[in-house]
Amino acid sequence: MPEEFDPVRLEILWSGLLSIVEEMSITLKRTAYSELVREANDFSCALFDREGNMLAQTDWIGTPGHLGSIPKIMESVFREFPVETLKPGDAVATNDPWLGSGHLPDLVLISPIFSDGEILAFAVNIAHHSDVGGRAAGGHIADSREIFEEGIRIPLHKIYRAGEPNEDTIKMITANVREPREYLGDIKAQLSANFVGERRLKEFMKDNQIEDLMPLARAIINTTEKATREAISQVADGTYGHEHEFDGPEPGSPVKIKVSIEVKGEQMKVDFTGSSPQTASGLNCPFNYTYAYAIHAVKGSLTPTLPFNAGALKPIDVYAPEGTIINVRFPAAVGARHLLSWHVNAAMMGALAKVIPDRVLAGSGGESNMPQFSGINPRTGRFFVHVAMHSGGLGARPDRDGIHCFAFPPRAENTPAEVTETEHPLRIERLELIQDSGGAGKFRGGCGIVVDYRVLTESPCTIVNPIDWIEYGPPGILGGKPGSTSKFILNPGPGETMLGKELVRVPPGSLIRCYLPGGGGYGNPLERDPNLVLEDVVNGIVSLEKAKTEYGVVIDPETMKVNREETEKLRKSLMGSG
Amino acid sequence: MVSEEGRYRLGFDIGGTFTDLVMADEATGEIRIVKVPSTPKNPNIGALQGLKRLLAESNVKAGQLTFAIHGTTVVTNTVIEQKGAKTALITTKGFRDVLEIGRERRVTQYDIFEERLPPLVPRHLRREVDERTAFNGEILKKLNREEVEALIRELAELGVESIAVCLIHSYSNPKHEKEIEEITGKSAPNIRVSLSSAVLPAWREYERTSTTVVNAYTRPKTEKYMEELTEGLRAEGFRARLFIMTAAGGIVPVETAAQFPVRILESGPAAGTLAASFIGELVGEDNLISFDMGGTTAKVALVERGQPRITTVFEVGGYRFKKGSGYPVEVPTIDLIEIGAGGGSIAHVEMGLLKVGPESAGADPGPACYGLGGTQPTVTDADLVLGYLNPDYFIGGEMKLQKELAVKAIEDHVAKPLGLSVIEAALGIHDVVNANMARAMRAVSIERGRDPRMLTLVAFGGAGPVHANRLAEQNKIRKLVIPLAAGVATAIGMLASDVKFDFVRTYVARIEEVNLDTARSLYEEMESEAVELLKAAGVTQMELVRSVDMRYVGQAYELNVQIPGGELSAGMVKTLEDSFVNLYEKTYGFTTGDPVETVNWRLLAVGKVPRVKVKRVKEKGKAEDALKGKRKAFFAEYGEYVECDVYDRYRLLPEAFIHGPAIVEERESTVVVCPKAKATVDEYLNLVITLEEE
Repeated sequence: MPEEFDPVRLEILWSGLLSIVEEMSITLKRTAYSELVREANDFSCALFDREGNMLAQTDWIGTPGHLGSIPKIMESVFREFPVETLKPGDAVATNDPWLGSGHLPDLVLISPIFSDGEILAFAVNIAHHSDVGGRAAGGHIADSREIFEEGIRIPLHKIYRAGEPNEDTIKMITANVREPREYLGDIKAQLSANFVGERRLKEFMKDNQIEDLMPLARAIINTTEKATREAISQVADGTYGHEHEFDGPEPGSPVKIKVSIEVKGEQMKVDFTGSSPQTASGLNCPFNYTYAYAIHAVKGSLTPTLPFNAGALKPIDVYAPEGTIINVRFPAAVGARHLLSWHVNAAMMGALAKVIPDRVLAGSGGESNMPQFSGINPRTGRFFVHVAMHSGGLGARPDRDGIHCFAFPPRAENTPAEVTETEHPLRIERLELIQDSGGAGKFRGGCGIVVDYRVLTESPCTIVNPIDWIEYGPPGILGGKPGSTSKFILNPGPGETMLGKELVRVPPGSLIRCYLPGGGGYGNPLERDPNLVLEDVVNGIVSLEKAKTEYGVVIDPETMKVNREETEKLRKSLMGSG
Repeated sequence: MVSEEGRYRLGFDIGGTFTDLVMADEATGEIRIVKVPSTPKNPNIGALQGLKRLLAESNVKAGQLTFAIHGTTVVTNTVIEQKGAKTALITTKGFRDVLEIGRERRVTQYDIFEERLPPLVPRHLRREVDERTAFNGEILKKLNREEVEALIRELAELGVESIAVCLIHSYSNPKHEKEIEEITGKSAPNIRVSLSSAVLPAWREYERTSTTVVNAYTRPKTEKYMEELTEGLRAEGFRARLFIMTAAGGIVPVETAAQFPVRILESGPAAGTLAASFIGELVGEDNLISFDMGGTTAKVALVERGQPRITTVFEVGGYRFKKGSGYPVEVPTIDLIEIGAGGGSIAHVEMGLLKVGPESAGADPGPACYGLGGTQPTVTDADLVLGYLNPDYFIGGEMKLQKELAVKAIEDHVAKPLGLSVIEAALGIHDVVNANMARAMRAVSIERGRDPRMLTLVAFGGAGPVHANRLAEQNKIRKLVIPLAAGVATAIGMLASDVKFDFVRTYVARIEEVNLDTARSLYEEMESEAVELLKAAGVTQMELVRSVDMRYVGQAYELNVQIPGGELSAGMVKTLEDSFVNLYEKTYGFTTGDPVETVNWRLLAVGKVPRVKVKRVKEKGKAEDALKGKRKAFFAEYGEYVECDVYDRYRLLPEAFIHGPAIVEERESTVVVCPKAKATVDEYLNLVITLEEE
């Protein structure tokens, strides 16, 4: 630690930087139009030093896919825009999946912060816009074959020059997205968040008599790097591998992520060699996004409470061969790239379970059944798009159950049914936990939910859904069972149609039913405390039958009490046979 | 002074450790204070004992009290300790799990062991009825009364004591919820019913359900508490009205509080903020920062033009102090930031850095220097080592502080691990906790468009006056007021509140499409209800304030704009739009030119309660007459311990003048006057500290 920062001053200054990014986030959330930003919190903010090292990022809000990608984005910014080409009031933006966070809806906005003609730092944020044009509204499309089908691609360029909007870009965007008013409103919101970052950083430096941010930046980064290295050094040296298989683009064509984690002293290497080749669908992701979730998994297991900045990245190398599903080549489609977030996590956890079984969790459902409705709203005569975001169950942990419907590993929130119904021609008819959906285990996976949507348009409504876990449920870990699978059904009941990843147009009045998966279980279900099984049965989370067949717990349906004797007998016989 | 006329006002605040009682003589403005230990098992016992003592000491009869105001933590504690009633929830078919799913929120970025708070109503007691209302209030499926009757019978058999009813879109049409209440009243009159359309008639079903459930869950216990308190007071001869402090800084009759306990969550901190605005009124300042630092947390709030800011975003409990992880309760609440920074906050080392809080040693074992078995170093330990606190005069000497234990705790847990001296470590703890609080102060002022240099800091709470001077310096605040009896200011705040009821109706409409008849009928409804309640509360002087939450179409967050008085008209609506745009620009620094819409139409009904006129002290005095000794205290400016004058707060009279560095001691608190600061005493015995401009 450099001499000028004692442990007291460094703590005070560091917390000061964190509060700046927090304030940037509040501004963005409160002024955004995109439903995904204002309701679902699908955005992130960060501060970088002038050399492009991440110093501070939001914690209470934000999503790992953004926050882990931003450090890579800065490398591109420096390549395209050497510092001498940047001026005060400039803002650089792109939604290029290969430069940014992996798909077109995410627009990253980078504002250099100047003081006396010199760059001090960068304020950066990423926000998920509701629509970016393309074949279907919403941007998450699983069945395109090329990126060109998915919407407008905005190259890395100055969207603001010396404080003035780049009118050519604005016109180009206006001509190519379905709701330009929202899109442009959100750019303003992003810009104002960076303004807040700039204003606050300058005040912070003045108040604390800091002229050069770099010594502080180095102190923060070195401290974090040292702590991260210490945490890695406590993991036994060795190479730990895992293969995770999951739904491919078409039914019956599974794909896999293969990972090998090498721990050597204070260093960790994550190698995805052997993973499936890229697909001819949107089920692909650019490397930045893979990198983000590989780091997220390691950090979640080793240093969950430490702050995240450039120092946390240094001791970890991540490699994925080009042309694989997790390091896809241009111009592949990437509209379902977020599916890879939970698959990267599941693969990483499978490998880490071999060396730190007390710090991993089972597979999680994630936002894996997310229909996006679009068409004309008969109440306004205008175009509407609604991205119906819900999460499946969280995987179980070494000492506790998974949480029902919990946003992991991407972080997002649902939109209240009352907001959805007021703004869009849709009615939510059901939103309910699914019995027996959480994977059985010593600790149970969180449950998924079933959601019913009634379409109230007067003309056909377009739906795309980058659905996942139809064939494979989120995997259990260390003896736990997988969570339930997903379903996406048009007009459930006799004559129902099972839908998949393809774009569909449905008539007014249709009922759409989505089953979101449960999380995987942790450990052997026969070791679960029978009282916990009973509690789940009383609450309808687990059925009497599954209590018996999965957990070996016999409950008297009349008295609703555990029959200890029968339970012991049954468990013995199940253990013998299993 | 014996007098039979009714002219005394009582305020009492029951906290976790102490119960504070304040009585004001309406004729003379004299104030009397009593502090007694709380009796957590039955808080009324302590309060009534305190009252007896207060009355005896001032020779006043209970029958002479005209007005009593009470603040309590009973509701908050019931939720946090999960000790509420057996509660059921009735929802629209398909929505019983909304309470458990919430917003599906994750509050940490990387913590795979994160926990969600358990729902206050377990799943088997969450029941559905087959009914449906649309967003615009249209009934799509009628409620089946027989279904409800059967359900209520079943819940009664299960021993349910309280029911929360939250039907989809009930804020736009409460018909079905009201029917359920009526049916329950007939078939199970002992079960309490809380309707979401009455508790919080605003959209977003999870937040509304959660608020209603917290209300239902705490209601039977709160009712019982209120009944016992009323009876206890009556047994003492008390005949006047009892009011309860609300989170929004108003007071409501005890019956309203019993019916809507969510309204009186956090009534203590609210009263603290009111105390600050009351003191501000005395010293002629109406733009203030209220700063209350106790044992566990510090609370900071902004007071503008004499009024605390109000917010409707509030939560109870949570996961590791993470924002957004508690039970949402969206009722009007004083907008304050509460952070884990108090005298008991624990200092520890993480990644080679010094951190303070949010974990607290609480009252038991408390700071190491209490000698009650605590070994972790706390803020109080650091303040003692730095010489700010007097080991022989803590709570007026009732508790002896042991400096050697403080030194050892700081040495073992902070100084050695960081390679610092004990003094450096103690100063570090003091500085880090100050920095945390300075950020909160900044958040309530600068981030809300207020320049702290134009604000006056009012500091109270046991630890507030120890830290306030440094905080003022850090935020460039120039004037700092520390009231007498800073340790019981919260109870004083209760004497400075008005009767307040607030109402809200959601009516989403573009500003140019607002149907004036609809808006008028919303207000007719709310205003007739309000007048009735105010009359019932015995209020004669009323004020009705209308406001509306507005936003740009397509955004999700609203700003509250006051509606000018008089009849609602088209012209007035246009004014609203302008006010909104101005406020938006002031708040966020830009505007969008997009269409604007209304969301929540609000009414605040205020019944004015005449203020107590605090007695002015005519006598004048000199500081040296109050000098009680000298003590060595450490100040960073000098880099060493320096000899400081120590004054007795109770002997300081108006016009006394003190130069920093100095220390002023009173029973419940200690004021640290930093080097370069000047302090004087005003005619209300407030200590007013002025800081030099840089």
